[in-house]
Amino acid sequence: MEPFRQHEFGWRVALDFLLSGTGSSMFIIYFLSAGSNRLVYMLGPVFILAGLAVLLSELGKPSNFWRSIYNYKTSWMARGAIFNILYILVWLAMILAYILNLYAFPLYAIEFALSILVLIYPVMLLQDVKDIKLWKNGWSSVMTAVYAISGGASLDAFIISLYQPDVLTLAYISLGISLLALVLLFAYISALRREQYKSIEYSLRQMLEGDRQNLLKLSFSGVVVQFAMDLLFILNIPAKPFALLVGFAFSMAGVYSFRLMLLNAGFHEPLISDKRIKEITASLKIGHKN
Amino acid sequence: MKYAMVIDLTKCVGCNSCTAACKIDNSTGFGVKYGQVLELESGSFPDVTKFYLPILCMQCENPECLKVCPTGATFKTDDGIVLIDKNKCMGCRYCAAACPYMARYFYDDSGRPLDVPRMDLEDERHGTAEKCDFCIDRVREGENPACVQACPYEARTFGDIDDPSSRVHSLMSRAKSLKEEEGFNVSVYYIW
Repeated sequence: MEPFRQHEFGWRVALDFLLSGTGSSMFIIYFLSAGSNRLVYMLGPVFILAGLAVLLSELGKPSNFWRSIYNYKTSWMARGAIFNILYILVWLAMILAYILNLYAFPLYAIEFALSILVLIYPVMLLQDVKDIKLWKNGWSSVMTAVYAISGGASLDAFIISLYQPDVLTLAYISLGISLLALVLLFAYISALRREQYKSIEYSLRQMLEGDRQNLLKLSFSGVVVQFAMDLLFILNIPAKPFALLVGFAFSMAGVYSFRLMLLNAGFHEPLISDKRIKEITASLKIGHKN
Repeated sequence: MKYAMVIDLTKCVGCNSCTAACKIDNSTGFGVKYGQVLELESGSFPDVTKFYLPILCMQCENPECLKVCPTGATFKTDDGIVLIDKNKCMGCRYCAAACPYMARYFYDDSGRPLDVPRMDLEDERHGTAEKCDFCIDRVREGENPACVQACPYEARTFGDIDDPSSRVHSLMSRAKSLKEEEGFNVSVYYIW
């Protein structure tokens, strides 16, 4: 019997993961690079809000969304909802502090910690699905997080480049992360060929078939484009904002397609093993003969 | 007390009476099957054997659906049946993604033909997760679940596994379950 595919999480969940991952990552990277523009800090949570809106559109009963924080003891979705809500509240406090021109470093530090939690919650949410080995696999989790961070770093570099020519620190960070994503992706693809990971072999083979193969190509190209954009910044090669915008959009498409591919290739273990099927059929044959 | 079901695969002929009885009794929506019968085969021509595998919610002792449910809508009764509180469910489908037995459905009437009217209960159920509940209303009135009652070959046996005088209890010595090695400790067993 073949493994069966999950159909519950689709493009909207992938989009929510993309937006929350990008929003939280851009805050993390900008904070780590000691960025000083408060408006850039304000932008990350806008992505998180957009992600929440996408998630709400996916729910069968959005009016019950407020209940989603209830089972935080065992459910990563409930924990994610709490992180997101806290994130938005701190963001509102940051906006207030900005308007009133108050000292707000503690708020930024709290938001930084929450950003890390918002970044890891989709990874943990997928990890918690015990029966889908691809999601449970640590390799997929690391890739998901690295892809999210690379998207956030790319967005930071792009935004800063629009009004501040010197984006070296951010560009170096972004370059490093996209390089890491590339190396990991190469390792991932070589792992597919070696078929080293027996438990996720079926899912990995699915990634190389049909439409999913295009998603893999797009996620690879996205990181390459991001890498090229970071090189432009570092080598101080002038580029028109529109060209950068197209490049950035392509790189985000790459990050999105990786997430979509991960969800699409999520296969449950077969309900019944081939060994057991043989056992049953052998027993049935004996029964028929008798 | 713990309810359990034992399905004898040597008796199941794949007539789907159980599937039909379940749909009628629970008024399930389009494409929703709390229980279904899979057709499986093994071997190659001319030595091929086919058999039927009825599946439904396994009423796990350690349900993955309960663990992941963010709203706490999924809960377990004292007699081991896993239920969903429709008023709490927000329809996130995380439980359906986490269920290792394909036993959860999302109630969405988008597939309903325009000329078929909505039933009374549909408004409450729309946009929530659904699954087999061992026909809890019937069971609490002392009856068998609809699928058990409908099976013409008595392939299904239902009862209290903790009661030594029950038929289910006596069948347990031969019973096996699906994905045993994962440790979900299910309440639906098979014999062959």
